[in-house]
Amino acid sequence: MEMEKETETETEINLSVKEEEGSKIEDVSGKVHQLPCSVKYNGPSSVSQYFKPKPTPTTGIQESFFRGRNLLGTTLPIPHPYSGFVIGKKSFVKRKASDMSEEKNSSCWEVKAKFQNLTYWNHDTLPSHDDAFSRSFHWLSVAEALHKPVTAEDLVSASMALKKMD
Amino acid sequence: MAWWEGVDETRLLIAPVPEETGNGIGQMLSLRRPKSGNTACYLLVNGLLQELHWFKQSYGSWFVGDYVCEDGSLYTATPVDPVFIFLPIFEEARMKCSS
Repeated sequence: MEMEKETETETEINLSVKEEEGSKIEDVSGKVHQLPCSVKYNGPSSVSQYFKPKPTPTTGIQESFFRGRNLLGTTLPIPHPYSGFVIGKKSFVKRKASDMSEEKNSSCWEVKAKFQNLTYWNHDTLPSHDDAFSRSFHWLSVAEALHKPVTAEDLVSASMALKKMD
Repeated sequence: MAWWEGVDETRLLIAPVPEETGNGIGQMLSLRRPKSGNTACYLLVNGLLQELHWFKQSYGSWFVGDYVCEDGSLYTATPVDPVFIFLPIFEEARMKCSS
């Protein structure tokens, strides 16, 4: 029987942050910045040496400069029970030794760093609750409330509330 | 050793902290989106099903510590009740019975 040659892609994200011996997952809270421009580069750079956010007289608003442009930013905490993860990928092709015709293209993402807040920067405009970035955070708590399994206590309190309305 | 060593690609993800009891390995699944019926990405971590969202603005990049990540998008994984996934399948089955 002829074997069908198939290439399937399997993707896995390992969110385990259990620290093994000799490896510690770095906490980059306070150092995660969303810029309002694209930087055509991936890799290490001395960001902290040149990018120095400073507080402004307005509460919660920070100011910084990037390539001479004035940026205004605000820090958003990541709500419970969520956490921020910096994930990294190393792609490789797994081959079964017994059957060379089967090729599996798997990619595995791993947690490289974690964070509990992030700062997003606007160019010249003051950050506000109406910003798309800020609004995208609302869904986190909405989804949590909407999809959380209902407990018996929840039903009891809902029933009590309903009775009160009558 | 810096966290970025040996990494080809980097992305930022916001997801629920996995329970300590499981292995924390998330499997990417292609399931049908209840509203449209189109295939969408889901993540199964420790038995908890999550929807994967992709938030991207026209221009953006990340600074993560002393590292630059060109891809300025943000991925978020939020819990979803598996019942929602079954809705389009139930709906289809119902249509077949009545015809």
